[in-house]
Amino acid sequence: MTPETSALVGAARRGDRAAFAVLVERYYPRALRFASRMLGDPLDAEEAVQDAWVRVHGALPRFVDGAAFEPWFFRILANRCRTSSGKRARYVTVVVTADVVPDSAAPVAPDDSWRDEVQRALAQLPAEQREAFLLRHVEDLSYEEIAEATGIGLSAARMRVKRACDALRLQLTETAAND
Amino acid sequence: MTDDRDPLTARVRESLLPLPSVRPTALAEVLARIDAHDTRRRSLPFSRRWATALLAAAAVVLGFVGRGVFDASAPSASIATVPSATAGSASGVTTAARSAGLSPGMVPVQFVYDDASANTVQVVGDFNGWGREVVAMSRVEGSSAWTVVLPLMPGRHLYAFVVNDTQWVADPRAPRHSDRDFGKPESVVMVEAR
Repeated sequence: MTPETSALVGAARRGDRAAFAVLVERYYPRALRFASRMLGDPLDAEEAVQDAWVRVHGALPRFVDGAAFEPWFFRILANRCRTSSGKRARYVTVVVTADVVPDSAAPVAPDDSWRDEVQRALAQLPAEQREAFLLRHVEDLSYEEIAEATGIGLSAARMRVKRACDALRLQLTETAAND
Repeated sequence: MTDDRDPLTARVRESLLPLPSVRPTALAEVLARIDAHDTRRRSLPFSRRWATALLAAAAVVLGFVGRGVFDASAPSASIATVPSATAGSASGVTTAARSAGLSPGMVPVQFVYDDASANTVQVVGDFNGWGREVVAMSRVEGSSAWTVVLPLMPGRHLYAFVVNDTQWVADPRAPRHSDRDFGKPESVVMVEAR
């Protein structure tokens, strides 16, 4: 945590709303990225992120001075994503697979197709592996921080990331070779 | 932190790394939700508030005890107890502040500007004669954020920030005013009546 983030968190804890607003503004894009990758739906992601910030605000007085902000924040956000996934599981998802006419004016770029494949492969991972993979390889948290953010042990965190990498490799190797 | 990154993982990471665009109203929405949450909490009947507080305290204590951590120095007062009020739908502008001392009908509006290189920041707008009354912003201690709370009448206001007494900049978090009255960038804030 940079000294500035630490100062912002400290000021926000003391009730400084401007400091909290700056904190939200700084972390919102990363939070939205994480939630979007976790949930695969922009509206669900936005809802989870906003809900997470409300909870962060309520929990700030309990934040231990000098502790790392990111694992604490991602723990709250990941919890909101899990709750959102649970709610969504109660609904039936309809996937249209036939009679889709491609728009000839907008050809699919190779990058887009790879990105879609990655998102599809990521969505097929168990939620706890997807979470660990994103925290490690996209949000750049250390294994210690992942353990703290997910409430599991260090070796379990390493194992989740490794299994996620193995599964993605299995699913994406062919796609990568065809590009 | 690329110690365990093979080429395929690195390629996956690259495609997942771009940050999504954030809607300009997102920040204002978060703050409005926090205010609504706090208002709901304060409006709970006294007995339910105590029951909720006791249950929450029990859960927290159990959690801390379970992990062998207890921070006795943590302040007991919640940020939620700071008197605050929303001003409404100002895009990208924090619209909450203490409501004490306002003239009737006025709404406290908090302006925030983030600039690590600034030595001084002022807010100028139609509400202060575009700088005839100097409104200096204060730096949030230890950060690059500058802030001030102003009482404004409900309605549409134009404003800008003056950095280091010379540089006139629009608020990067707020919508721009399309018609530049002074040939300089200006932002728009909509203040809703409370």
